[in-house]
Amino acid sequence: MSVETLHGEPVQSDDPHQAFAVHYKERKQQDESYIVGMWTFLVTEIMFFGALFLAYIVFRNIWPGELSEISREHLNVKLGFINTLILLTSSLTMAMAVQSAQRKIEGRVYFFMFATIALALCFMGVKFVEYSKKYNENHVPGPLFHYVAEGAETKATVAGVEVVKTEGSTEVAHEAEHGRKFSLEPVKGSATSSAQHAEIFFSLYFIMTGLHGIHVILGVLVMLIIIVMMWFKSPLVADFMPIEMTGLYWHFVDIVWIFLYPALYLAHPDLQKFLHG
Amino acid sequence: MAKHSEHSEAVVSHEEHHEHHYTPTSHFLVVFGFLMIMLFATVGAAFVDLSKVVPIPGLNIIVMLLIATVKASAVVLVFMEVRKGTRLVWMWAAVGFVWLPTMLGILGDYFTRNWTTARPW
Repeated sequence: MSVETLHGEPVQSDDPHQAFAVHYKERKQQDESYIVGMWTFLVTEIMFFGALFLAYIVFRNIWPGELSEISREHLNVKLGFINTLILLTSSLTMAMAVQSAQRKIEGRVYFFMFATIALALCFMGVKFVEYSKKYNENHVPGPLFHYVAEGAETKATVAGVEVVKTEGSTEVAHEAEHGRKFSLEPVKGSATSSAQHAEIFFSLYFIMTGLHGIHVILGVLVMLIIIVMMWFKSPLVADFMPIEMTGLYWHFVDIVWIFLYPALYLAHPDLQKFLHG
Repeated sequence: MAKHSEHSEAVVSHEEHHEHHYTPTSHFLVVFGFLMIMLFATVGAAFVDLSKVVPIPGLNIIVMLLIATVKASAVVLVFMEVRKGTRLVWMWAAVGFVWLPTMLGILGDYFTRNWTTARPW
């Protein structure tokens, strides 16, 4: 069964790995178009994340000591390490899924796609642990943001009552949780400025890792859609190319994390914290 | 029409001898092993104060980001199969890494600006 193209080549074949659309000269050209199209999208993504990295570099350059101190205090190097390990492994399973699709070993494609999804969910689980800790500590930028540099004394106005507090007090955070208005004023040092700088650090942290997390979730959704389509024998996924495109996207997500981990977590780590915390 | 069918079958059977060239599993495993070693190297670079060895401020983060670049290159070349890609694919994969430094260079102008303190929430 074939339809002749302008070039006199067949566009349809019983083998989906050989078939190509009418406007291509040959299968190789169609494959190249897919890959170049995906890379074009990935280049826009590089610029997208690149702008955020630039913002981070600029602020790190303005307050180098302070931001690395915040990173050292509040980001868990160990959890970041585990997540890097998980994501690098998921890249391996994804590469294996693509290879299995190219070799038409369907069972293996399912296995490696599910393995990749499982690893992605593990990654998001670790991220959830990290985020919930920051949420509980009121480190999410916004009206309830609360940060006191270690040892800094502040005068807090909680529901109209003025009290002097030091870091470690949970009363202010407790009041904040219950939605009461409170304000913090510095008594000594530069508590306000360090709180502002911390808020900028956490803004960048949440935007960069949050955006990355959204990419992970979208990757999982795309993989699930492909698995469902494969299950129902959709002709759209009979070819290996959709899986290869998903693979390219997934490896890109991995690459972003490869840079995020040293930039955010390892800026100024504490060996003791890594080993025991 | 019959002629076309024959032609088609001939092409398909001919193509079947040229299956898609896939990357062997051993290559992926070697790259994965390399990435693991590099991951430990990244963490190692974070814990050793390199500026004591070579007096360059912020040498640790430079080394860590260089290692990250090596890791990313390994992923791009083998996992993303750019190594076996056509010239056009090579070019597209490379432009991202040309445009990004260009953007960073241009917007690096922020370093020269005066900064005012923003009001908090």
